[in-house]
Amino acid sequence: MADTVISLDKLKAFWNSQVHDEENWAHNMNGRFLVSAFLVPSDFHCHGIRPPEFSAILACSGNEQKLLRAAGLFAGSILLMRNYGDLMAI
Amino acid sequence: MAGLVPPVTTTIPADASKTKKADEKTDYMNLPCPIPFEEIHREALMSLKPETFEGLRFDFTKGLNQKFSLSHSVSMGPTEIPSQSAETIKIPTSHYEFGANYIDPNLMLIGRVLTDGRLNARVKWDLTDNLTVKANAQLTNEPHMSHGMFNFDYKGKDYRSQFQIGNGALFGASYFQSVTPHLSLGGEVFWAGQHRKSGIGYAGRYETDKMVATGQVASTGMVALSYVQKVSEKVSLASDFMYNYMSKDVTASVGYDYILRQCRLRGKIDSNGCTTAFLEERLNMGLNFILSAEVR
Repeated sequence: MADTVISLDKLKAFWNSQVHDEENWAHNMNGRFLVSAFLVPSDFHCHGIRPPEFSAILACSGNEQKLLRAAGLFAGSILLMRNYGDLMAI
Repeated sequence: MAGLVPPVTTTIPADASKTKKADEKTDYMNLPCPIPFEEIHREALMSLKPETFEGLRFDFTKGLNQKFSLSHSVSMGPTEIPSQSAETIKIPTSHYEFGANYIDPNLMLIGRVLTDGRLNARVKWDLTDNLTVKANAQLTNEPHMSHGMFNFDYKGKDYRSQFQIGNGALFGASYFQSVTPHLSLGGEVFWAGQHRKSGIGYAGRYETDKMVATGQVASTGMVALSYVQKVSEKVSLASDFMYNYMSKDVTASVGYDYILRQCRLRGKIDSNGCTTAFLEERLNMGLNFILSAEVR
């Protein structure tokens, strides 16, 4: 029980640091929030340090992000249709 | 006294299936005729590109005899106009369209006249079982905005070819060949004399009972991929991917198509966050109800 409370406090602190901190919020709203929130630990944003393996993703321009999003949607939808499409039958 | 029937030697079913498989593998002289090159994406287009509209639309078709009918169409609503900025500009418009249709097994004539003076005409004439002539024209009051085009389609045993001639010195040709019972490959070329532009494109289509996958690449920068999963006779799931490597514009969409006894429901979502739904319901004989919605 005590461990759960501690983890919740950490989550709240992370959320406040990302949303209520103006510098981090501006950085996140450039379309990298989803990548950074799930892949990068919180202190990387606080200290401005990014792991090199994610800099390629974070450095994508808007057009490349659109292309990745569209290609991912297309490929993912095909995988889902082929594997679980029968569930949509009536 | 009943005697024992001597065993009858029969061919082992495995040999017959192997022979049948060998015949199917090597029977390249009896490949099916592919669909026309311009229709390779038709399953995906039918599922993912319904005729959405905003406002009010009313269509009425009156058949005068078995071949000839008249149609009246009224529509009122905002129309999107092209703009230089990224912002979408819509202006309210309304128009009435009068149409005449003549449909014969070998000849089809369709004409539409709008209140703003535009005339659309389409002709499809089956000269022989294999040769079809198609023509379509759009005439307007505005100078240099009228277009016309002739298509000559030839259907071979396992191939399709088409030749196009349009105004403005527009010439085009396409060829589509069945390579295997499921795979068809082809290409197209065009030359626009007025704009001094030419282009070439290649396409492939793989079709089975359960799915259709198509791909098309053109020198104009277009890359178009589509995949349709035929879940059942009533249900299809479709996905398409359009990319222009010249303008770096890309769109992918995923959708569904339910064809039921009394209605047809289609919906899709695309990579730009636009969600579309389209419902056509047959309320009574000759009376259809249509709902269209698009959220961006």
